[in-house]
Amino acid sequence: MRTKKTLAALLAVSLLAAGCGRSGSGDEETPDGGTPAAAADFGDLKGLCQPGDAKSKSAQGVGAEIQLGVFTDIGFTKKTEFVDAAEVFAKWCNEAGGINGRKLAPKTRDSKFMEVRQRMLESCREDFFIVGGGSALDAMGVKDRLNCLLPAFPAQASQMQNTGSDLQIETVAGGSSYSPYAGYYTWIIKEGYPGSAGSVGVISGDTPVTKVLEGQTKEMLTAAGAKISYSELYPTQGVSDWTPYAQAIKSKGVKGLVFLGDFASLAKLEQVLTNIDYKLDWIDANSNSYGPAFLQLAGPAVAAQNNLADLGGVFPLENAAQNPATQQVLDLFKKYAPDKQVTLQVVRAFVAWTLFAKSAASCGDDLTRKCVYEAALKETAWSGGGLQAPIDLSQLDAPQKCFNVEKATPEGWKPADFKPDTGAYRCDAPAYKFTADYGKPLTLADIGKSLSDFK
Amino acid sequence: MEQFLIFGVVGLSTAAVYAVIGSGLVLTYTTTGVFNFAHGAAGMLSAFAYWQLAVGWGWPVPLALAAVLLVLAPAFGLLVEKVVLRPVQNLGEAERLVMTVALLSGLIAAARWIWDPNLPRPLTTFFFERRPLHIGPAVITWHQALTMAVAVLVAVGLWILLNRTRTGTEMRAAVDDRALVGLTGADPVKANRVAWVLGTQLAALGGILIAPTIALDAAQLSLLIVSAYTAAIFGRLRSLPLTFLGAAVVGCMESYLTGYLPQNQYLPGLRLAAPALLLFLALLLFPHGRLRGRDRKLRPVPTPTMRGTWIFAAVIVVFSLVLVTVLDEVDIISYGPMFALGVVALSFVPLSGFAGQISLCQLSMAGIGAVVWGQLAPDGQPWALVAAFAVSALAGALIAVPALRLSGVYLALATAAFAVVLDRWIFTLPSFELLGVRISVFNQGAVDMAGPRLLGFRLDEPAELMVFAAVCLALGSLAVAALRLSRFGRRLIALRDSEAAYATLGGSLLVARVLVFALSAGIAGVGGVLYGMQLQSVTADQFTFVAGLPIFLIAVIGGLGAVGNGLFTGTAYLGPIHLLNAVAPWTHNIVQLLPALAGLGFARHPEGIVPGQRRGWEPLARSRVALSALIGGFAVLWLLRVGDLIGNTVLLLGTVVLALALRTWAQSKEAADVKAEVPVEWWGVRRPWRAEDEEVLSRGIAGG
Repeated sequence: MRTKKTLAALLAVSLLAAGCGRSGSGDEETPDGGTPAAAADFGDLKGLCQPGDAKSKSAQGVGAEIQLGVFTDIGFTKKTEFVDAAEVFAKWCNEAGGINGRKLAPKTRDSKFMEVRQRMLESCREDFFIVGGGSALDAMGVKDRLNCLLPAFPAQASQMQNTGSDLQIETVAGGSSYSPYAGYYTWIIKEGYPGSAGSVGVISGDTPVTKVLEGQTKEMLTAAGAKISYSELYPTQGVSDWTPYAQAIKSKGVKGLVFLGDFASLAKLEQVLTNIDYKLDWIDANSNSYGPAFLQLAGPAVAAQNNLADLGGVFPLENAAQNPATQQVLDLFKKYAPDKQVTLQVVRAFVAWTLFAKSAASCGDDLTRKCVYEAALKETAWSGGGLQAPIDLSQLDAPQKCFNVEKATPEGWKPADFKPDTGAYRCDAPAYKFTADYGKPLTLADIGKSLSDFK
Repeated sequence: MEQFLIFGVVGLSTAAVYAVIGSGLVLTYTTTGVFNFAHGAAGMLSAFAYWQLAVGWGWPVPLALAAVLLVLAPAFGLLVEKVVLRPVQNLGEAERLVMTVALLSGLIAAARWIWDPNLPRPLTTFFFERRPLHIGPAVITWHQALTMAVAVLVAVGLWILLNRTRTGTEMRAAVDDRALVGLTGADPVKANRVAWVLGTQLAALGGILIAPTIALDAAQLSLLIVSAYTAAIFGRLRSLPLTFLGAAVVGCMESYLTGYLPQNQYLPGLRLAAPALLLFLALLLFPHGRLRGRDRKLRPVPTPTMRGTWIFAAVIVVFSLVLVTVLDEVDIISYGPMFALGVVALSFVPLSGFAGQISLCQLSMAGIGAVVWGQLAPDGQPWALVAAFAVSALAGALIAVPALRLSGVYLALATAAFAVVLDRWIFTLPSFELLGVRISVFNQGAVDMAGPRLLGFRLDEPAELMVFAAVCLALGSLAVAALRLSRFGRRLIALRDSEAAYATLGGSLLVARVLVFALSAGIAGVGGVLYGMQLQSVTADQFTFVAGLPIFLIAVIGGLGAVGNGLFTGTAYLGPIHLLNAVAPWTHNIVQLLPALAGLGFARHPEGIVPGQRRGWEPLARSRVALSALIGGFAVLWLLRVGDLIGNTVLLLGTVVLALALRTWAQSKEAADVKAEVPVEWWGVRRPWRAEDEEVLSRGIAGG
């Protein structure tokens, strides 16, 4: 996932947008006060939000409210996911009393794709913490964030300089020097579709940012025992006809395909493949396409082709009834934002929000950045109340253990037959550390600071 | 062999799409003399409209098709003809080109506004439920077969229309000589209308046929047509059969390259760039007929004075210093690239303003400059700025040599093709070795840009870089003004006015063109370096052909011949957008339409905004009283602002009100002075006879 989430945004670049407007910034929650609330549970987290009388101004952005920066590219992509998640979580938590009586006040930081630095500087000036969001080009803001010692629990981290950077805890499984797809690709090549190992293809968009992803994917696939027999670029500004691509895939006898691009294009490619009667063993549609949109766009090709996606250990939304935490997210959305959709990104944002809520509550009245950050680092099996497979936050650069594979069917996405061994997940993923150099995350030392500066 | 056959058939099916779009382009060009960059965008809009009717509102397909093709598309075509293009019919190529670029950006913004880009909009192909046809080993869907059939029908229909009907003859005649057509009793405006209606219908047809096979996405559908341009150029923008041949060549080439190009890391980009490369080659190899639209009126290039330019340069630097003192860091980062992009825009002035050469690849030149700086100056060594200038200039000269025989729209297309080749191939290359030198481009990712080290100081704060860029822009503006006043500048203008006359009088076209291309590319390269410094790190995405279009648009609106254009373009490109976003966030959809709206307003000021502004402000600059009042008033406001007694809004509004008031006062005062000047023959009649008048008259007659 990590980097792939960015793709949709990167690929949708219409650069004519000389400047992309900001929409509805600053959805500040006004504390409605009055009604005394009772502590509320989220999933298996008891009393996550609770009333109290903490209100001392213990740090920047903290008082009767806690102001938190939520990064998003909403002004460019028009995707509201992170803003919705922040709004819903804050409304629910504040009704239950907030964090020891302090209300959560999420502040939308709309980086509009290119304005990451500006928003980061604003966030530096006003916010207590950064929670539950992410910008596609987040590398542009890391230096400023570290400079002002602003910690973050993002819902997504995309560029290499940011993933695994200091003062940041990523609740998405897998450290930055390990492949997040080791389990997934090893299962595909060794168990799921061993017949495809001799002929795997990779198609990726031609933006420079996708190149890192392409390199990592090829390295991991090769390590898992696959032979890359076909590798192609497509112009992200538009392909006039997918037929030559489909024909080349057919002629070269490609059996498995990794598509690093926008799912609207993949949908068209699959329609052409289906038209020319070619069915691959598997297509890695990646978790961007996990949702109803891809199924609608691909239409009949969904039944004809075998689309897989790795959710990286997030409990699948369609089975929410079997998992109280996931069901609770759906219920909360139904209550507080009935016309908004729950997506994979929303769930990931909730994992980050719950981590913040629990860590902040443990600090009591003396709420400081350092206290929250260190409380979070003590979580050795964080699952966001059960939204995802537990991960150990005390080791930030550790390989991902659990994965779960979804398969697209005309009735919707469903878990594939990937032999889960721990509930809905399979937790025997091998560790694969990248050998090639894809860039390094930024550290405090890089900008001449150290953890002792952090308060 | 079987493979070869399959890819051939596949290529032909792609070719059919290009043929439909390309013939629409050719039709509008042959009949109106406008090369329509917004052709794809019109198709895109039609595809969305068709989706809305057929899928969104569930109309039956034939009804939806009829509504789009017979009602909406013609209405849109008429609207475009009347509102957008008729006002610029008699202006130069750059102006007409700019109108279609404005239309393109406006339509994309509008479509993204109306149709939320995040909602899935499935559009099935026609006859998708039928089993595809098998022709030998190849498979053809009914949709592809339909597209081919439509392409052939369109070709036949157009040929009959243009060559066998009275309307068609009038349409062709209207391009050659509108005045003559008018004399013979035909109506050239009507011919234009027919052309736009038909052209838009063809675009709509192409859009509806192509949308189901690619994603229904505003930008993708609009920008897809580089390959169709290539087809149209094969037909030299006038021959439909050759356009079809071109479409077939491009379609098959793309298909065979997909099938046969060896797999290595240097070549996939070449395949993506192939249509653009072919376009470039086709432009160079095919003979081109006389360019249409010679009846345009040439406008004089404004002549700056050195004194005025020095004042202007000082204003630029003072402006940046004021910005630095009143804006906070966040805003400095937002407005920072203003002066850097101003330098890029300044590069249009000698090239397009003086020498009349249209270039759409100036931002790509800026990208080259940025890469050179990023690779050579990790610690900000100042000499790398010279290297960036030199390498970009070399690249500029490289385009100038083959493009020597191109002008007008052909040159615009050649430079556009060059920009696309850079985007898709050169900029995405991994580092390679050429003649023993290791060359790294963008290293397939971001290149870090260090601030310059000058006289022992390291500039890397946004504020410092902003002032540095402003100083560069000021120096650049001075240099360009000096160029305008020099012998070489006059030569360039002669070249613009008439290449034939210039050559006849002994000027060397090659030398002049290569020099001006190199110079302007060098300026753009420096602009790219400054821009990159502001951004701290750059990727190829920042320097694409598409990203360069709005800058070209605003530069033309500003007035290409004016030295002040650099500052104007930089300010107008970033200023209103950030300002409106800050003041009224709800306007963000309208903000994206701004460049397009500005383009449409352009028709009213064909000489550009800058010369008009200059005339408007000159009286103020001449009047010592007004000037000192302005400087004094502004200084007071600025001091109040620095002392935190007033906010930026008050400062801005106060300055604007003060300046406008003084301008009006100075203008009316000057107008009054002029009125006092009575023509010589009325002396003694309209005003009393003065003692000195006799001597003045005698001297005037003697001086004869």
